Amino acid sequence: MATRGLSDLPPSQRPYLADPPVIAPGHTFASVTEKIMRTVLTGRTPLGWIGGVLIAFGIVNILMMAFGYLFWKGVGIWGITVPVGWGFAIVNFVWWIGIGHAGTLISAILLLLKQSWRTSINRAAEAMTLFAVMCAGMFPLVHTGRPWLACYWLFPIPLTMGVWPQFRSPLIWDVFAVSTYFTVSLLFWFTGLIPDLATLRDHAKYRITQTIYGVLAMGWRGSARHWARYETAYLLLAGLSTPLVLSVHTVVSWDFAVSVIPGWHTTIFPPYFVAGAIYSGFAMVLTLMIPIRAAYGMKDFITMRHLQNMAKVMLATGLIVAYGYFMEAFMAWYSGNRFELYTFKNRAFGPMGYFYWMLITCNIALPQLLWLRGFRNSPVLLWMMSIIVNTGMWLERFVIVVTSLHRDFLPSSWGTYKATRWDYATYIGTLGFFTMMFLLFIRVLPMISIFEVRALLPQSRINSLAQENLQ
Amino acid sequence: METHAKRLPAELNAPAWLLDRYQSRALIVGGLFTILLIIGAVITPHGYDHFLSAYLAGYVLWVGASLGCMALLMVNHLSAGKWGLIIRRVLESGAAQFPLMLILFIPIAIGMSHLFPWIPGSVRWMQQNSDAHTIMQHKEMLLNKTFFLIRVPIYFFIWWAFSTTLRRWSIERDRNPHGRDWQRILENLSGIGIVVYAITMTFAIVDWIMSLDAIWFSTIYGLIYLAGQGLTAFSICIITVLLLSQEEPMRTMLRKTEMHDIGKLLFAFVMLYAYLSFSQWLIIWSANMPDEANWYLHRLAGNWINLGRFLILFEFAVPFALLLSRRLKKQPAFMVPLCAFIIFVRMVDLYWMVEPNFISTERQITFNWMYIAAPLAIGGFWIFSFIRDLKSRPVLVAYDPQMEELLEPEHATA
Repeated sequence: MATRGLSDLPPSQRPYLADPPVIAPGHTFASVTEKIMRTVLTGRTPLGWIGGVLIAFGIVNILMMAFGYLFWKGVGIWGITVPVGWGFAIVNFVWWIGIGHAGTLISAILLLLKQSWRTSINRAAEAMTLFAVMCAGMFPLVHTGRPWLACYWLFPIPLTMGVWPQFRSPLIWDVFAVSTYFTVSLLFWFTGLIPDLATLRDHAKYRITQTIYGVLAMGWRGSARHWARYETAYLLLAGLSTPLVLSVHTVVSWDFAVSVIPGWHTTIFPPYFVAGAIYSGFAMVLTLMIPIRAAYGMKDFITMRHLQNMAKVMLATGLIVAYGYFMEAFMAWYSGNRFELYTFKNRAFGPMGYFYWMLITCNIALPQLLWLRGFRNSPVLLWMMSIIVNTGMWLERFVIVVTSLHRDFLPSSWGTYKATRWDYATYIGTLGFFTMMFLLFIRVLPMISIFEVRALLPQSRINSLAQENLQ
Repeated sequence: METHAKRLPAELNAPAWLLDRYQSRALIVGGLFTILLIIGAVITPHGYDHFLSAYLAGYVLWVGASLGCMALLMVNHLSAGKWGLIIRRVLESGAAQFPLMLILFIPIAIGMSHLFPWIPGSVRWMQQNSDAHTIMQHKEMLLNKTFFLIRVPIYFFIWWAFSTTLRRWSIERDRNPHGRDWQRILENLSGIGIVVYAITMTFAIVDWIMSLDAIWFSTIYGLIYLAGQGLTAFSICIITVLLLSQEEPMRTMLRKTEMHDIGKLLFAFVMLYAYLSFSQWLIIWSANMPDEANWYLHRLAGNWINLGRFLILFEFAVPFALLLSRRLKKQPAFMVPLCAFIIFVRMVDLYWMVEPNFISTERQITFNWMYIAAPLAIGGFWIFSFIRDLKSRPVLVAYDPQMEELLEPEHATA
């Protein structure tokens, strides 16, 4: 008896084929390698890239100035006050670390879930993760005002003075969570790069590039044994990274939730912070990849399928975030606790209420457009949405940090918060740093995993149906 | 072209004799324990009170099984994972139990003044202090007898409407694969459905479980139940599929790959449940505020702490350690008992959630046999009705774009 159903249908009528393919048809192993490698091994650097790096470098100098002045004067140059002792530094830290979640989610969790579409975007998303975590890491370091002393404030170093950090504070867990996350993400990224570094080594024309890529490729020859080891290592790192995706932002949420401040102390924080992190991370991947795929002609590899899937992940995580906001509001009422209730009222209708409604607009109202297939099909609209979501997620952290602190229990201790130009300079500076690092990355390393995209081509599949699906 | 591909079996219904065996046993268990419960409620001291709280815990376990099945079904339509093809019909049958569960709500509706503290003048209202009275009066808009009872059929109607539509379309799709753009409409309904499920389920849990405590609240509580329902539903699916795989058509279709995948998802839910529960505990423990911490104090006082330890060990540590093994996840002789045990632990967990609400001078915390009997009675009827539904339809989907991949030899798609 023949198999029923599918085989008698012409390919165009099979429902899944209505989705755009993961890789545009017509590519061969050689064309994939050539196309991706060319952006790195070319002698001609695009003018746009040089311009972009120069601008970004200019902004990095603003960051340097902000840091220099900060170290000279101290944290008094920021807008932090009593009672708002945590201002932009923590807002930006949480925002950046959230953005840093997409990379590992794409590389590790989607790998474990056998989602093959991750392949063309994982390399760039992981690089983005590393740079975002670097930006995030700057804030805890410099907010001490004296970063050269921070090593024994942050890390438990056995000194004769016997000064230890408070181990029961999530802030110290943060130090471990973030540094572990960075280390594992870096290893994961580097491991995934090795076969491609060998490809670059083999194709490089100049002695110097051959040497650099050769050293980094660690003697990769592509033998069957190398591949077997590689697969094992990669899978193990994926397994290790998966809990880290959850743990980092969970610990960040505990920074707030273990306190007794209404608006911070609420049990839903861990899952809703993690969802928010993935939300903003995917938004940032879209913000970067939509222009890059156009500028570098990578639309064959980063197809509409990728953009649509990322849009769907954003919609899903955005809805979890919405559930979080809703539960906070509902429980504020349900608890019958006057402080909880006041905090919510103050957040929505107090002096900083407009931030709250901007946040709801950016994070909840507008992203509902992602339900529409037409919307998910338009790169321009998706790019705009990604900016909106990034803004919304920044506002979320601002609202959580500032509105909860500025009015807590006693009206006599109420205050307000206003960021200074140095707060803005530091924030914008990290944006410049992030952009510069990313631009450097796409110039010196293949932004898309060459060998994994080759594995996605129909030629490399045994499965005949899969072959047809891809075509 | 010569392939090693298997063929889809001609007969997609599970053999009736196989299902009959379990169905009649389930009915006997359900009937027997119902009789015992009625006797227990009538003749033992405080029997009616014990019966009600035991019944509520058991009820939430099994309504959670249906809700979990419905949610996983929607997730599967949205994510289109191959694991879902194997268990899709099982999920549909699990999600078809809402009419039965609505009927089984009647004892709770009748006994509600013995259960909930927010009914003015009830026994449990009297046990509360004046602060609690103030808070309960504040919540009266939501928590009052009439509105509470109106909400029950609304929840069930919504759940029934989603699950029955998904189920009907699934059958229609097999009959007429090209009739409509099935993938798209199933995705659309599931997308909306998952949102509606999350909200209605949370409110149902607030109504039925959280409001058992006059004061306590926790924003993560709905998600804890969401994870628990996933755990129960996966356990039921794994048991069902493995038992069905003794015979055709499941024997041909169930590959090690999908067994492994479903095992991994079960593992993920074990972790998710532990993660959410631990988060709630850590945040409440470290803030140490009376409104919230009391909930844990009741559940960790005296002998209750041993139950808490049991849950940490057997709802997380042991399944976690065992499910790490790739070999065990593919081993039916291991997975069936493990999943049955997980359902048992879920039952213990719900007992731990529900029963400590009733601490009072006249009701010491003692174990009562009805805490086992009630979940078994409800479960008996649930399983009976579930198997009846499984028998009425093919246990595998015939038409799905991914079905052919399941027929491929395993190494080809690994």
